[in-house]
Amino acid sequence: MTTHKERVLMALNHEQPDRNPADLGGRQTTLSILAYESLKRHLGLTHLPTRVMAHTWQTAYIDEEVLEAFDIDTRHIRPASRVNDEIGKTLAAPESDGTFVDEWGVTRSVVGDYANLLGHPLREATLADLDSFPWPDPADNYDFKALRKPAKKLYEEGKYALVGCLGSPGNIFEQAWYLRGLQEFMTDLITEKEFAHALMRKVLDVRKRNVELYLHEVGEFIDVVQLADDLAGKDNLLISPKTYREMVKPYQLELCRHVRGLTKAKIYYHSCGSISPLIDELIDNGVEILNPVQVSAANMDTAELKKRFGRNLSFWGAVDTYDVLPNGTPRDVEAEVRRRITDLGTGGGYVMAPVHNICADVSPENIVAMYRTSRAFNTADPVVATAAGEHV
Amino acid sequence: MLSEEDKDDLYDAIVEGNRDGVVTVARKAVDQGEDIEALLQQVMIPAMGHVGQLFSAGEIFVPEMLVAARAMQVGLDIIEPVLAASDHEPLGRVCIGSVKGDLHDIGKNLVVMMLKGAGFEVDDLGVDVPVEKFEAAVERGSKIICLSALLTTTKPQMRTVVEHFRGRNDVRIVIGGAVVTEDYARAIGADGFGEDAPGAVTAVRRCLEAMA
Repeated sequence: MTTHKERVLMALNHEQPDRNPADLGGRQTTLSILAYESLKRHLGLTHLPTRVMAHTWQTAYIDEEVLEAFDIDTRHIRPASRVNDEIGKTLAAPESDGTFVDEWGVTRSVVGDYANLLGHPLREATLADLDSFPWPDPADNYDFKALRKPAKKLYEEGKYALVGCLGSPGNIFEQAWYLRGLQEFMTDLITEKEFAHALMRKVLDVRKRNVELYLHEVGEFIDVVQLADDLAGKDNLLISPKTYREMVKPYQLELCRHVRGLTKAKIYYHSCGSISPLIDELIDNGVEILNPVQVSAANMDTAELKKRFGRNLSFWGAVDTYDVLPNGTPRDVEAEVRRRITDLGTGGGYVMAPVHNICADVSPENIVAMYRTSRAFNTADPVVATAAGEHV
Repeated sequence: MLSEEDKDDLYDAIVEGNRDGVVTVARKAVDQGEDIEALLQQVMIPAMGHVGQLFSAGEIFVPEMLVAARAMQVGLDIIEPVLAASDHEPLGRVCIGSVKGDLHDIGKNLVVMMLKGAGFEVDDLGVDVPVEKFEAAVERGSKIICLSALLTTTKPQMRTVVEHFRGRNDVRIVIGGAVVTEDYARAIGADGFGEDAPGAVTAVRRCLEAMA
């Protein structure tokens, strides 16, 4: 019998597994606190605690009991944050304005289900200011040492595919504009190139240290390592391919190479939006898995993506969180999951997951339908799968 | 008088986001007593319109649009005193804000820039804007309300604002944002929909024409 781990590894090696693997509970594939509360009530599991994964995104860790109930094939290895521990222990109080300053000095505000950026410490900065800026040390921000023992145990048990989350998203472009302000940094990319390069170099240095600290502890145990850096909106890229190649790619490439030198884990890269014009560049960087496959964005048709890039790239995500999961019926969700598995998972190459963290507007019934369908649907024998789907 | 070449230079400088180029020609125009209204209508606004077209067509991206809008703004700042002293009538007054509960302003700010670049007077209400503030802006003279939302969870606030102004002949509502579609705009009874920032400008212009 295929283990969860074998199933994921087969898929990521572009071999047809017994059924398509499924992920839940990762940085971009978990539930918001409110959605998790609602799911627990639905499953009769209210005795389980709600542990905050990321205060900034108001996301929750998914308890082992829920992961087992959904037969999830992955487990995530994520360091605990030290910085936001205080606020991380509690939910954002609805009556407060939810404002806090993160480890980079960026002011953020959590309202309801999501976080917003309010203040940018480098908005007025000049090139000279970059040297005196208090760059964060990832060692202060995350407890990497505590990861080794549980990761080693999971690795030795060999049951699940282990997905590595660095703690930070490993983002460079995004972090640069969080620090500078979006409009300012976008303008820098054209008119203040020297500053933009210097800023991204500084951010890259922090990310490389993060990679070293993390992979030193768990690099030998994990199967997948996650990086993220959003480069696209729903209609198009945020920056032109030319600007990407000139201004952003050198830093992403250097980070990917750094990761590759320290682990054999496959490199997973997350960018929301209409990212298809940059996929060849990402593959060239060393990216092996693309997340989230935002199917509601332009030019992100899953059959087309598989045809164009499926030989070199696996896909992770793709179940629509924009329309189908919040607005559809469980039957619509079932059709959506079948479609994505057929498009992306035929011959392997796909891990089923929601496009992004599931927010409170998705019913527990639809979450259950998503994972139930994935477990039952076997692309190798769709007729049997259809019949089986009715009974799971 | 400005030569045709000067005008072409101004047009190109706006499209390319060349601030210095815009300053040179705009100053020259003001110093020489040029017909500033005509320069605005025939050169500057069409230049920004072209930028919007290039953006919507995917030929330029957010950085290029921002740099162009910044160059346009420098030009507008230079000619503004001359316009204010003339009988210049802005195209119309538009208020804009991200709806209540939504603190996102990137998309909204792009729309603000494109509206200004198209010759509208913009009353920017910021983010997390309750319906009362839109009402106050209408009392200040806005004929169009632009609503922005990034989140599926704040999108329903658009309906609240549309309901509030339903049946009013003095105001039209244009909506847009990452989670908003034309179908949604129609379903809640909004008067216009902007697919992107230039699209929002087109929708505002159409609504104003329909009111005239």
